[in-house]
Amino acid sequence: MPDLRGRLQELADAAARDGVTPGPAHAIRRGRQRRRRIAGGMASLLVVAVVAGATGTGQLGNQPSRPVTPATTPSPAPALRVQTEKPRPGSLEEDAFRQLTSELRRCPGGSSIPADLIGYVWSEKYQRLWMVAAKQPPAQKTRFCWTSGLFDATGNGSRWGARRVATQTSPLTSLGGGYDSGLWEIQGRVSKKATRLQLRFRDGRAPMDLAVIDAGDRYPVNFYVGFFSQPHASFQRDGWAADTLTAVDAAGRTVTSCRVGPKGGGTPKCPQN
Amino acid sequence: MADTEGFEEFYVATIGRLLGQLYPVTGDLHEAEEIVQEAYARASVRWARLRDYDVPEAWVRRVAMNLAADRGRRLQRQARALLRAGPPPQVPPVSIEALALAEALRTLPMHQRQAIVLHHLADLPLEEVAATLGTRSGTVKSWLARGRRALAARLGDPEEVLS
Repeated sequence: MPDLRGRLQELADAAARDGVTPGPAHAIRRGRQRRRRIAGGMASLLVVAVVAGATGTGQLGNQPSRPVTPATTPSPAPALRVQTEKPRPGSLEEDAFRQLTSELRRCPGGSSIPADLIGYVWSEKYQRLWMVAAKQPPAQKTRFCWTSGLFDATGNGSRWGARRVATQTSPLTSLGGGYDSGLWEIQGRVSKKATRLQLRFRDGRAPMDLAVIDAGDRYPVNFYVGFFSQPHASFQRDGWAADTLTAVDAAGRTVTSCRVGPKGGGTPKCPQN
Repeated sequence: MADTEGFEEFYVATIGRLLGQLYPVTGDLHEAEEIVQEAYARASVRWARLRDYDVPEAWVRRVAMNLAADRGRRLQRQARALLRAGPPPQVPPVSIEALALAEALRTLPMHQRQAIVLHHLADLPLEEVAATLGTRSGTVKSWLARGRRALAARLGDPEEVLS
């Protein structure tokens, strides 16, 4: 099919010629309406968060608390507070979970197995919501499925495709992605033995603690995420600034370590899944 | 400076191109129009920041591609019951060859369709396609290869080496 581009161009030209859009003024009006709707939703969410904080519980009144074993309580990066509460109807978090649930329908068992919301973090610095969800395997199967996504304040975002874990025994896996404005995301799953996960960089900046999300007793691993900035020009010139991930247990012992940057130093490369 | 200053010019200069890129992805002109308009609406409220980007069009394209993927999933669910008996998707008048391509594209998974359009129509390099779709270039490469193989098979020239 040597003329793939030509045929695509013909389709594109026809759409540009015959398509009808209501114009820029309509787009501006529609954008403003959308912003007002979201502002209303976010304000309600803020009120709920303040009330929850004032009660000293950090939990929404009628939501069951997730059991957390003190020995494995994660110590997330200060800027990323892990939340596991069920999202409020109409909230950004609910929309994100809906999108991840839809992604997880591709997993074995389809929609007959419900998706579990594992947790989410809001990055104030980057104004992004990151969420992870997982799904139990069908009966007689052992490999669970998980997915995650990064969303802006309007709910627009990027999702990683649903993944069935390749092997349950990998103590640490890593995926990374770059976004607009030089924002980079690193995420994956980590052994439950780890209480802290640190990312070291190749460009001399200080190491960074990543947020560890406790997946509870139904999943054999926990998840993690972190964000950092690197201009795309620097990425193209020097490669990814992220270098090594090190998982540490409650006693400060290294559980495992792997590289996310180029190979070297005898440390294995982190598997992706 | 008004928050929307320059937005109209940007809209007029880019709407046709983005509509042209979204149509082969959605396979339905109305759907493409609606998605593109929504993407511009989202851009308009951030225009004060977006207008300083090197290529604000890339941001709008990315939003539109994400919306297309979301709607694709929703439609898949609704389509089984509704669209089989409903009217065919709205398509602009094009040659038989292009129409055959549009039909064949509709059979591909959304991510393969998006990768093909972004790479072969929008002429984006693999890395940029990957950034737009929020994945890695290796994955995009594989989507492109599978998508092109599937298209070649459907369009009747499976022997052809696709590049």
